[in-house]
Amino acid sequence: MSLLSVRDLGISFGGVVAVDGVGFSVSPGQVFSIIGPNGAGKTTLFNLVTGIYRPHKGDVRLDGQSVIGLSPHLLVRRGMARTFQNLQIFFRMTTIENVMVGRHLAERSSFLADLLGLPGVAQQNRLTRDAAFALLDRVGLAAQADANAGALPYGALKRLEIARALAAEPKVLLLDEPAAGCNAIETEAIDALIVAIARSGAAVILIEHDMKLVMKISDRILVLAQGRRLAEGAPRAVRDDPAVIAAYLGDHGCREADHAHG
Amino acid sequence: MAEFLQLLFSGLTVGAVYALVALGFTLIYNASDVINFAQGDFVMIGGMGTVFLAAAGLSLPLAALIAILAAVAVGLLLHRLAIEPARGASPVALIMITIGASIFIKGIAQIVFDKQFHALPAFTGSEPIALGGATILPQSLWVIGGAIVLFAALHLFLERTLLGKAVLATAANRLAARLVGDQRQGHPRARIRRFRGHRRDRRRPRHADHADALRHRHPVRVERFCRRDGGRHGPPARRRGRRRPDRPDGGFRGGLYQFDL
Amino acid sequence: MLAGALRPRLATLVLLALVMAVVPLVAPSAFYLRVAALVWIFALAALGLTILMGYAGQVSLGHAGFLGIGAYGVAIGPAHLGLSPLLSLVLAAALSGIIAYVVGQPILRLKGYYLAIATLGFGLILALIFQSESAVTGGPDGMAVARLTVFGWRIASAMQWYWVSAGVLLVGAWIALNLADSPSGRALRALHDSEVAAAGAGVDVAARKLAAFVVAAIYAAIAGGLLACMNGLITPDAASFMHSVELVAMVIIGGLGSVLGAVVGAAFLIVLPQALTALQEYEQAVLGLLIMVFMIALPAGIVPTLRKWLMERLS
Repeated sequence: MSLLSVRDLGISFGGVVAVDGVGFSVSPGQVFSIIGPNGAGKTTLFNLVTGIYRPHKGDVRLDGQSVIGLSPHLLVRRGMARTFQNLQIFFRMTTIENVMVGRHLAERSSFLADLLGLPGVAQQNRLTRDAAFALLDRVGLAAQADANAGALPYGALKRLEIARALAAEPKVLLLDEPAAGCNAIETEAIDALIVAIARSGAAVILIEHDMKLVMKISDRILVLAQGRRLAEGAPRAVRDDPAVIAAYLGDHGCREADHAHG
Repeated sequence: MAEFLQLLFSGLTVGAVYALVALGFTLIYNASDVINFAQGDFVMIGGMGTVFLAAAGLSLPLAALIAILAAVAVGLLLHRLAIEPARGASPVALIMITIGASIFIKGIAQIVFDKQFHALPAFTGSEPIALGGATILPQSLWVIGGAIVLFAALHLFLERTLLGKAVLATAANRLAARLVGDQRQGHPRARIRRFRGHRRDRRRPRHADHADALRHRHPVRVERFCRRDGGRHGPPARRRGRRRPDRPDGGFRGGLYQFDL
Repeated sequence: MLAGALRPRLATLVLLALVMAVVPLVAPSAFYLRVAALVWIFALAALGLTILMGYAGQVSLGHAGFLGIGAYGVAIGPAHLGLSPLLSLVLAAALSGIIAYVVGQPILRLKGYYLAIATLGFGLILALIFQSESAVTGGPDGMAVARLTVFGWRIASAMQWYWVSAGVLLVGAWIALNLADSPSGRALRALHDSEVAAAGAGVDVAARKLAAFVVAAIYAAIAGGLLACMNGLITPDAASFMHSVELVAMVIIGGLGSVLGAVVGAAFLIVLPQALTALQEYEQAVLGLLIMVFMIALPAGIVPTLRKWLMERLS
């Protein structure tokens, strides 16, 4: 039973078709990677699925229900959370406050109560903080809980975004290049984190360029090129698919790869 | 029909002036990403400056010229001392800086000049010309004609000269422009003012506080922008490398018009 | 800039209360108390604005318009509708909130410069209305305002106004501090930093912005009402662009997003002209110069800079 199913999704910007008829589905506990050359439409696809763009055609169903046209903050309510390619951290807040914002939907406090400082608010703050701390611990940032987010190194910020996304207790987690710009050690950490998340029952959809990471942890891979589906399947099958190799490496590189493989 | 023509004439005249003000405003925004709240105060400097210099005995064209140079100088100072140091600040901060500058300039102007209304004579007389049942002042023709000349000149400058293209490039992407080897290390923004005196009758006073004038629907002094031909070319070494893309360039000939809103 | 500074919530209130208690003891005459009362009143308006601009990050260059609504509300209520000044104040604040709610929805969709200009325009519209509707508002010359009576107690002397405005400010500060350290406050601060990420965390960005706008409008209206009652007179000037600029300057000079900053900023911009009466002519020039210097040299504002300096000294 698929948790998220995307069917024939398409959008164009001013005549340029960014995504054309892409579809896939993910089940709980699966790690599903989306790869493709730059400009293939991967982040656009994410934006379509998470409600930032409205598709011109196609459908997105979460738990069997169509979620087309819902704004992003409503999709989170339905169980979809994401991270961003270009790090949308709340730099003016502390590390733990970043994750506490992620707990927004779980918080029970009205605006009026917040203004008047009613006792429930302090308690809510405590609950949220505790939950956030647990999440920071999970991604290995517990020690920097009260540090300013701006002071963290890049790899830590990537993990912070994941923690914030996890705070919403999503059923589907979309990670946009979680290991981009990370060194080998940081990538290992993220690798382990993703596997752990999937193991806990959530579905993880991943956009990545790091092939080692992708091949290692993915259950299924979707290859996009120029907004269209190029190939889909298990990592091994995708890796050996000549069309995929051609798209990534070009004809010349294809021949080189053939030579290399002997 | 006559009424329509009358409205058309006055509309074109006022519109021409506002278009010039807007042109300068847009140039500044494109080059520096700053909404210049002090724009009206530059208008005021040109106008009041011309008035006071003319009253001190200088001929009108000379007074206008010096007033323009004064406005340019103030613009340069504003850029150098206020906008440059705050580069990269948030939009709010930049707005507040120009607002502060506007208040400051107004405050100083009220001391340097005064708070009274003033007038300047028209260029070629104030005998209205009959046209199609309506009348148009000669000065209005100067305004509209001059504005058209200025627009054309600026267009030529930006599209046909290297300096102008550099200004456009800088406006489009400052960093890229510098990286492609802008020898002047940034280009002066061709923002120039042009002023002309205009004689208004006593019903159209000039006011030191331009913004207030606008609000209270008093006649407005407006500045016009012209380009300075040729810019200042020369080997970069002489420049001392201090040129910036959005510094106003010099200007001469000026005009200032006064209109009933 | 708010991070880490939220815990001393009580400290801020205590500090404020202490200052409020000390001022009457050192004030040489009633005039100084009046000035201090003015500071508290404008600090209240600035406080609302810092919630909007500092927490939520939405600029408003027309905020004096809401001040005007409150001011004219307490003037018109007793004069034309026969209501008591206190009831008029409450109604004016509510009206201000409603207007903010209605106007805020389209306006807050804008960002950056567009939002600034749109709010500027809105403020100008209000000022124009106050000026033009002479039958109701007394036109450019303004109108007289009845004295405020609270449950039979008529507030007139400088000392009384001092304590009333101080008390109201203290309550306002308490509310603002509550908001900062709460789920709503975090949501606001989040959308200030990244709207898309805040939405991604489930925050209804549009609704939150609107809430901040309404709160800020109510603060300003209450301040305006108190101002009008204290002065006994209100003119359309109260809603002028200059006043809006001064409010923004107070917020930024004092420290964006800081409760103490709003008070310090207000004190700075109100006390300074009083201190410079000798330089009467130069008042405008000095104000402009100050605004420029602070925006350039001390963009974080007085209170955050001081706080940082203190923290560095202590560590």
